[in-house]
Amino acid sequence: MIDYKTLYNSDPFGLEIKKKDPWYLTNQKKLCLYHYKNSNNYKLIIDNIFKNISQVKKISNLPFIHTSLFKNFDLISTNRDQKVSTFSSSGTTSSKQSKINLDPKTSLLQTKALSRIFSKIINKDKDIFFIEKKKFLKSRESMSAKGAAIKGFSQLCNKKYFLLGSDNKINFTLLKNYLKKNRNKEFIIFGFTSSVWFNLLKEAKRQKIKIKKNQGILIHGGGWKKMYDLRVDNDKFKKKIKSVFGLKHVYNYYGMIEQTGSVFLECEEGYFHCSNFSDVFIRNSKLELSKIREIGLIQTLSLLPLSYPGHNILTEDLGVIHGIDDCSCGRKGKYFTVLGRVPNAELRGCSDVT
Amino acid sequence: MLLENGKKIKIIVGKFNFKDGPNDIFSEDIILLLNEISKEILNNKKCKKFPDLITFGFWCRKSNINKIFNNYNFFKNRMGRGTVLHITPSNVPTNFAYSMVFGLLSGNNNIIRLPSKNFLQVKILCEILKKLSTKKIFKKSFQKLLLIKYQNSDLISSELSKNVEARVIWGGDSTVKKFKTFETKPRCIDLSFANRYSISLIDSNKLAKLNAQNLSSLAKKFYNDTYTMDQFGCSSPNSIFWLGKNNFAKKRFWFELSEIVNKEYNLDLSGANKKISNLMNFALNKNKRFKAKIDNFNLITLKSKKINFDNFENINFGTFLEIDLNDINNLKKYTSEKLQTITYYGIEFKIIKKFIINNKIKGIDRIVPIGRAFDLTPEWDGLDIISTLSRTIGI
Repeated sequence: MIDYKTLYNSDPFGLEIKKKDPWYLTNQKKLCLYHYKNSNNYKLIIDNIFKNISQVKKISNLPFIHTSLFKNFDLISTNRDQKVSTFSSSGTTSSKQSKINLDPKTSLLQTKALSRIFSKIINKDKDIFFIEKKKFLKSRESMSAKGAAIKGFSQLCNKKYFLLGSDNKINFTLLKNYLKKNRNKEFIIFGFTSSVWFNLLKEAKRQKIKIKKNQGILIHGGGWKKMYDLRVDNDKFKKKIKSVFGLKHVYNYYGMIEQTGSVFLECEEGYFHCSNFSDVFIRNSKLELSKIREIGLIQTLSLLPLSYPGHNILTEDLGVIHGIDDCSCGRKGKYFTVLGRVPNAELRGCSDVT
Repeated sequence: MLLENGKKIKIIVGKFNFKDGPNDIFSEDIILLLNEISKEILNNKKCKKFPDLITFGFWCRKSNINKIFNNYNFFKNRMGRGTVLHITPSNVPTNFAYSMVFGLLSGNNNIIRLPSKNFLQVKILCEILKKLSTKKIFKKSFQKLLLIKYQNSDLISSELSKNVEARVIWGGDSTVKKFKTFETKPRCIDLSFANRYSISLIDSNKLAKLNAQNLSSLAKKFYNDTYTMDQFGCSSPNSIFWLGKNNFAKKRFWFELSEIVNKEYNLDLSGANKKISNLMNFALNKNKRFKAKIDNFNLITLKSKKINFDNFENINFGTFLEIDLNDINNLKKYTSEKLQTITYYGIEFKIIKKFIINNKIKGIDRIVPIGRAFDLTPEWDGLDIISTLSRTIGI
């Protein structure tokens, strides 16, 4: 159905928008129609609110669904008797969590996509450290977003190490010994943004650990809400992590549980990039497309979700597209920044006394 | 007088021990005070940019209060109950002022909890009240008034509830439920304002007879009823029920409305996010079927032949259900006791009243022409606030 062969064999950041768009439209449309046939709730949204999918001629006119639906409804596009696991977002701050119905096929697509997107940064010469326990991969959670990331990265790297001990404490000795033996060797540390900050950094501070300059690269993503609450932005995060751990590079990515795998990688210039797996639009308060450099709600698209209709989502994040095809990092396609969560609307009216 | 933990309560105007009351309803000095408040508002430059303050300023003028009084002046045997506790909504700035006026006009002492949000309107109005409270001539009237603020506290709310003769509880189902759990005097009377919804009823054939100017002015009135509070006010219509089959007239109405909306309505990104989220959640809730028109995101219409009205409070920010009725009696299945206001055009009041009686409908407490959805009168939610807050002396 979807042209996954081309997708997985091409340079994920190599297509100019002119070449990418027609191909992406065809495949994204197929995916829309697939979910229309297979998910009752998705069909209801399309029938009630959007125009006929097959008549759409622009990617931006394809129907999207609001991210809150994953919190309030069970969205699934496959037979329930097939092997489907349900996952919740890691977000512990908000009251309701997103629920994602993931089947093995989608999970595999996500893992493979992740390795493609990070293939320039990670390769078989490098070893990787995960901020996770060793037995994680054997747990049920291994099919979650974090699991997809760990499996995807493991395949790309040489040796893998797990930094979290069974007592939930970071094992710095492991890292220090590694650095003693492997001076000047590039290596990777991967973790979710919040666990890098709250586990790795906090524990290093507590133990007064500071590591001297090395060839390490940190890859992190997801869950910025807690960081915003602490008023830690991307720059501050980077500086702090680099100074404590002596790392060479810190790569952030933008992703969400609904679109695990097709994450938006931050380039050397500090912008998130679309890959061939994904697309992004920014919409203004009338839900029309914002102009370049105009702030709006972020809409993200992915070609990966098959077992649930998460392929085209209006998020509650604010962002800005800075340009297309012309980022000085050399990657093609759209590049953008994320400005945080849209504030809650001030509700007027007579209910609610606080 | 009441509280051990009085420390947490911030007194804005007045004192805790009331020295006066109960009084006659519509007493002279209260009407005089209200007229003075009106003057202060209408002459205050700071008030100019708040239409809701100006509306209140006109409303509490002597001439208007006397108009209201005419409905009551046969009640020679009425006076206040004692002390009334007013719990006002946090997000309608001037609601407390109306509640206060009803409490004063019905001859009571009043404890008014102000919205916790710092609205400028509330601040200005309190400044005016403070200023007037220093005048000798109003000394007696201000002995009936206490305006307070406190952060949500069950302890304070329940303490305040213990010793009053009546409570006016705005703020919808959850607030009402909460306050019902607090102990009150056995004879304490509650005026509770629960969650309600409202609709519009328009005869398209009558609409067709309007000239361009009058149609535009009707659309403007409809706009004021709906968009000024993003449709969150419970008396704000969330749907139009059409009588008559003049589709051209309906189209013209929506067009006129969209012209006004596009000129005057500014939804921000937070509102837009909430609007689309609400719409999509609404669509999936209980398998509803409708056809949305979202080309102009500022004015969304949902056309439907059959729709479940259970979960109706959730669509806002300029989203309207549109339902064609062959006959007014078909409206029955869309009504419930939660239906508060019908704003209408092209239909007579008595026909709607007949519809209510013939169909044994429990809801519908207000039937007003389009444009008057927000007119606060002593008759609200099927209650006469002034009569209820006062007692009748048997003679």
